[in-house]
Amino acid sequence: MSRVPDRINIDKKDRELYNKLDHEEMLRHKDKGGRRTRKEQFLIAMAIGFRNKIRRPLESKEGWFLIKDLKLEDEALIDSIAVYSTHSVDVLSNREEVFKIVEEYAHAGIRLLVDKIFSISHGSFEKQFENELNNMYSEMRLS
Amino acid sequence: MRIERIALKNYRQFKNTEVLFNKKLESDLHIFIGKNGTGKTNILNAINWCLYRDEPHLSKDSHQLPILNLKCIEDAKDGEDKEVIVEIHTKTGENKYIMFKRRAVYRVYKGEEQPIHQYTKFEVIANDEKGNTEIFEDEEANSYVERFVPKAIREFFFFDGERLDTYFRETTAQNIRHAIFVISQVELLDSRVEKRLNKILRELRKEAGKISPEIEETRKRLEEEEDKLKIIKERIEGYKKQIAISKTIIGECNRKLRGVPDVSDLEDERLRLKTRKKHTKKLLDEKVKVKQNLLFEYGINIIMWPAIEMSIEKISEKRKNKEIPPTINKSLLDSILKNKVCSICGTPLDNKTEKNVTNLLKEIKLSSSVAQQLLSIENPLYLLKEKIKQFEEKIKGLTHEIINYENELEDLEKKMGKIDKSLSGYNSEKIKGLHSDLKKFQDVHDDSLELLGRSKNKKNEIKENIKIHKKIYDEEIKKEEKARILRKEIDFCGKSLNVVEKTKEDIMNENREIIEAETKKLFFKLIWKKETFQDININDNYDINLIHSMGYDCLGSIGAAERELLALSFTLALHTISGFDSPILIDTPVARVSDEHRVNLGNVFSEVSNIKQMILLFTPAEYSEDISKLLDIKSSNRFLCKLLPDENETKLEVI
Amino acid sequence: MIDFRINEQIIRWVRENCKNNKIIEEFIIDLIYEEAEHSIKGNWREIYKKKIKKYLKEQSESDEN
Repeated sequence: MSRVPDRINIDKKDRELYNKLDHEEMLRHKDKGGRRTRKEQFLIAMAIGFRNKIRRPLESKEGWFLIKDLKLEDEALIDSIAVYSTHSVDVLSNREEVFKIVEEYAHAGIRLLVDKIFSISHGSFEKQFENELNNMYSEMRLS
Repeated sequence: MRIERIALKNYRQFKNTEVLFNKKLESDLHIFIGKNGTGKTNILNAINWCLYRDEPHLSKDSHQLPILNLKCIEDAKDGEDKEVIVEIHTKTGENKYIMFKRRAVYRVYKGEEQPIHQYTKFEVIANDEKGNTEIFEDEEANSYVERFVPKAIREFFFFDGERLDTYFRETTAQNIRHAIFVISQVELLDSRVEKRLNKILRELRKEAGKISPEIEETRKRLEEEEDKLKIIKERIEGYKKQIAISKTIIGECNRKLRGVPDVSDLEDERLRLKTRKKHTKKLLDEKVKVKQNLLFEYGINIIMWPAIEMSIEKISEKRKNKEIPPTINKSLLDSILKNKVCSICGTPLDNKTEKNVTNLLKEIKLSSSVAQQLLSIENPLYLLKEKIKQFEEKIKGLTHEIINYENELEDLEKKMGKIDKSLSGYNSEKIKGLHSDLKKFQDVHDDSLELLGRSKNKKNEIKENIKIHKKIYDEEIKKEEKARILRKEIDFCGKSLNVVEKTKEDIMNENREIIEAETKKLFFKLIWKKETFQDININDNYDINLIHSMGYDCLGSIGAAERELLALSFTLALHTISGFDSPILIDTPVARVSDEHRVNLGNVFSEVSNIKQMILLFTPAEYSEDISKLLDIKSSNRFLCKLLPDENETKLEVI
Repeated sequence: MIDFRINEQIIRWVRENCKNNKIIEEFIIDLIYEEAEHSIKGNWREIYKKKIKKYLKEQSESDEN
């Protein structure tokens, strides 16, 4: 039986990238006058990694936030990613593996996210993000 | 009087220039055309210098330069005296030739920047038809000038088109009143005859007072009242002056404020808009934040949708297969094993049963951790799905609200921009100052009007008192036989004084009426927009009111061309009064006049030149094709002012 | 001296205002001419007094007649 981790990790090198999210108001950490928690920043990075289907194994881990901070809703998202990635629900019994998957997505996603912020002229990330969401939304099959 | 010839020697750019104003046509029009700096305006200055010893139209550059021609200074030996002479040769209606000549001598020192003034001499030489010559010098010569063109109102004879705004100001009105007082010889009646007769009368009364104490007593009372009348008359004049000044300032303020926004109102409005903008901006920022949060939160969910969707499908499948929820209650098995008694039937567990239950629990434990996890995320996943469904509506609602706020902000910005634009180019403080002046002088005007009314009543009261005291005095003096002759003299003086006083009033009234009627006649004859104006009124103080067809005084708001025409009409009306007879000279006559009215004014000049000598000084730009077409044929002379290459001398070329 | 003409307007109005008193009319016109033509200065008092006496005399003579 696998060990149940108590925290979500990021790659040590990613701390700097997370700091760069402060350039975008929507993503800015609350310590820097923004509204985001570390967990939320992680989740968006994870989502971006997932969207681009890129997982990158962590080279060196750094605890980012505690598992207990995850709400049921967050856990549902994390589990969904694990299920989607493995095409099986069985992975859910291995929490360590579940978190590893999402950490890898986030590791890939944070770089993509930062690149996105800095490749788009300041102020227009939000607009582009909104457009992408609208496009994705229109393609969704919601019943 | 018309100017026949002007001779300029060493006067500024004019080294040795003679201008002949021969009248070759029926009209008496003479035109000078010169670019700025060619000395055109100095012809006007030369006339002023000759007649009044000043140069009111001097340019900034000319102010720095000596009046003595620069070329002349250059040619002079060290310590040599050089003279500036301006002669104006005129001819009166009675065929009298009058020459005004001013001569100033300057000593030129080579080391000095400016030549040193030695003395100035002014003389007037008058020759009549019979060849009699009279020469008047200095003070007498000045008096002579005052007969023709009184200095106080020279701006009505020697116009500067650039300074139209100064016409009809209160000071001018007062100057006109005074000049008419002088010219119509009312001043002679006032300050000489009346004043002296009054003194004699008082002396006679005093003498009579010595005869009896009763006469003296009544004299004192009478003269006390007369002194009171004098004071009240002075006060009335003061109030009239105050009213005229405040009326002019009110007019000036209104004119300056016409079309100028009410700064205080606009600033208040701007502040109101600014507060609204701040509030709207705050609401917008809040909505933007809400939208950002929405995008963030929903964004993650939308991106993750494929995973969410798959998980929901998997859970649904498991449910279909009845894999969830687990059929055996894990905690029940835990409890049975712990108590070693069956929780359902109460039978204690034997070894075999315990082993079976332990194995069952082991099996369930493995599969149910997945099932449990799926169970725990099932509801949140459905909630997420429901939440995602609301995305479009929520984002649309927010976007709509944001657009509304943005539009409102844009609208507010526009309004503020409009206010800024209205205020730009205006000096807010100055405008506020004008509004404050307007209010102040409206109060002064109203107060003075009230005081004037009261003083007039008081004056009538005093006049009545004087009549009574005069009667008492007359009765008292009649009692004394010794005062018989004195009484007759007093009576004679008194009656004469009444006539003088009445004559003064009648002349001033008549002149005012003549000027008013003539101004009106000329203005309405020459004005191109006849229906715009209704009337012209000139009051006792020579304040002019031009009445608009709508009934209000519009002098402050008329355009430059109309103002110039009114000034011309007024000038010509002044000329109808005995003593005023002078040519009209206008520098830059259409400078302030809009293109559409230039030809109108050109027609006016043409008309006026039929009855009066007109000298017009144009810039080439002013003397446009239209004007040229109109005035070329009417002008007896046209001169071109040309600066010689060394720029120290101007030559006049006859065109 | 400058040859100043007396403004006709003055004479006209003096006459108008002295319709019933020819002597006063003449007296005032006399004073006006005196002031305008001779610009009397320091001795004005004597001149005025003399004229008053002169015209009063004329008046009494005309009254007697």
